[in-house]
Amino acid sequence: MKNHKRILIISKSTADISTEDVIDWLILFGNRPERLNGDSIEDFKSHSITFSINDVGELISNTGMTGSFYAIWLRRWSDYSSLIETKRSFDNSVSSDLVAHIISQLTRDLTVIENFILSNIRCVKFLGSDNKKHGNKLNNLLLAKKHNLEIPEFILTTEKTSLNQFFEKHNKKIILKDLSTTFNYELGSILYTTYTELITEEDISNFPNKFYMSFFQKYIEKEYEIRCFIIETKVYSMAIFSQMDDKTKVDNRKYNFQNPNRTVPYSLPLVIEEQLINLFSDLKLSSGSVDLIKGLDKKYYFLEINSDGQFGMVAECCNYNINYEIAQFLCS
Amino acid sequence: MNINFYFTLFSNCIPVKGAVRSIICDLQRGSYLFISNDIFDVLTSCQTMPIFKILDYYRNINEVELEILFNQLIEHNLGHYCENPDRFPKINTQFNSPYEILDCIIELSDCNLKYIDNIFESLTILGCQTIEFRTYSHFSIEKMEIFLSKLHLTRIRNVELIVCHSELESLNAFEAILKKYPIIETLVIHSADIDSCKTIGASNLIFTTQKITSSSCCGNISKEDFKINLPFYLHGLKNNTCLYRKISIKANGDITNCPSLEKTFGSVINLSLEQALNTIGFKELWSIKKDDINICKVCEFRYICSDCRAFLNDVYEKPFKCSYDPYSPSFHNLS
Ligand code: SF4
Repeated sequence: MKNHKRILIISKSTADISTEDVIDWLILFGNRPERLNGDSIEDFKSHSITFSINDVGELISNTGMTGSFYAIWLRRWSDYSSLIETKRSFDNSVSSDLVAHIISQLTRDLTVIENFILSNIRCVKFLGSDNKKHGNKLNNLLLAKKHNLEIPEFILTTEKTSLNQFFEKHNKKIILKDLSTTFNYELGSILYTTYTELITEEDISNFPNKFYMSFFQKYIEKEYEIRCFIIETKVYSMAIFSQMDDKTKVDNRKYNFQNPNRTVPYSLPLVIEEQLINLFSDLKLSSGSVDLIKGLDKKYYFLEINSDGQFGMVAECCNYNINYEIAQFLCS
Repeated sequence: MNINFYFTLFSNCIPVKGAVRSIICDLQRGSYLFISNDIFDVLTSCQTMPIFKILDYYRNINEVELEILFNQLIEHNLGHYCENPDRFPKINTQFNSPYEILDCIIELSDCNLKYIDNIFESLTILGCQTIEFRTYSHFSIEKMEIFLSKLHLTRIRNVELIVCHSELESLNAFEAILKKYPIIETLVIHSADIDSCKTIGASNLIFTTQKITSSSCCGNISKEDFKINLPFYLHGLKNNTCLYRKISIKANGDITNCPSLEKTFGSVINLSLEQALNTIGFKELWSIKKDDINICKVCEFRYICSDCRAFLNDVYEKPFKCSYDPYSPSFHNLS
């Protein structure tokens, strides 16, 4: 069986297991996909790649990535994590302020390159999406509400008085959330990271009267969480019983290694599945992950979309054939 | 307890009934819990009947006793009350994989070294993911490295290396190998003076006093070797958990199902692995599952127990090296 359709897979690196798994299905279908790894652009020491424009104004590269593709799967672009290495490579004589400036400049430059490449490779079928484009949590919440999905009430405020009102309104149960990505900070050998936490009365009393605009959300008492992976009109759901464990009650990223949260296949009500599919089509997203909560009030709350989210865990825990579905989509 | 609700086991906690007792296999956490066969029956009915119907149907169990049982299971995190069990479907038992061969065992030898390029080319075509290299007696590290240095040309993701302890090789040399080839998940050095283990990077270095001096040292069935996980369970439902999608190459180049099985399907000297795989009979043992094997089919451990089709008189007989009797039910000492 041979399948000569040109398929391009854009991924972070060769170490991405999900990418490898999908490629293995494509190989079985007789296809040899081409690859572009985010880290081959970032990690110049171990890769050599040059882009230019040909006579007819097409983007070409020395690695043969030229012309147009039948299908492109944007698994995920690099998260620029190799810049941490770059940061470490400066010696102490360079001021940390200058290093920070250089790193943020590099990040911006890499983003320009990323946007340029992503908008200049052509294909008939496109799967995946750019988290940087679809990752606006606030937009997504509003749009979810438009599609009749339940969302936890939230405010964006700079005022302690408004915060206090919101706090009282929701029976003193609210959370503070990151708006963009998780904040990671390395100090010595310890990695500090932000988690979603319940705000206490004491916390608020320690806040100044005015602060940087922050995002507060009503805390939903949950029965369990649900993670879905959506590809076109198929929804694969998994329930996560994090409520049984105090460590992961508010934020299941605080993983309990000894006693992992119970994760099992789940079947969402059809109405909810339809609302999610409509939301995705509104966002022009062909695939991505969604986090939901099933509240004790029996309602399903939409939390957020991760368009380049990992689906490996959902596929593995529930024995869903997601890798196969993706490979099928790309070559049929 | 709301008797209009259901009590269901989580779909990755599978009750398995044996001749005189049952277990619940927690496939997510890799553990199991003994239950009586009566409780097995109750729990099986619970998947489709609300609690009030269970009380109605099982007249010998009252509401208090049932609630105690459910609370124990909740304590073990094996099940939960739910209003609508349809929201929690069973795990699909269809296990799909794009690989024709999952595991390969290669006995390291000069013969196999000579044909290694052909062997690796075949394994790449077949999609092989896991490889085990073995030596029963001393084999030089330099030669071993020739095998390892070509792994990056294949699709292999996990490597286990089982070698014989020898005065001729230093410990440092083995540690250096693990550092150089992080693809090696585990390096076992058998016939060692002491039992010990350490980690080098993400790899395990294990010394064992056990002597693995020939392929007849394989096939032991013991509680310690139970594999309690979802892929293993799904394989075991339909296939032989030891031989399914496995291929082996003996030191003399013979291609077999496993190194302990006599029957050969050709030699790497004049045959490709793909050709051997398509020889009549190669896949014959692949489909013998625990449910087909006498005694094993009534054993509560049947979906977590590895199998062995090498040491027995009849292919439908339980492994000779298993000392468990599901009727008594206990492990006997092998005499
Ligand atoms: S009787 Fe069969 S299934 Fe049970 S422990 Fe022995 S080999 Fe395994």
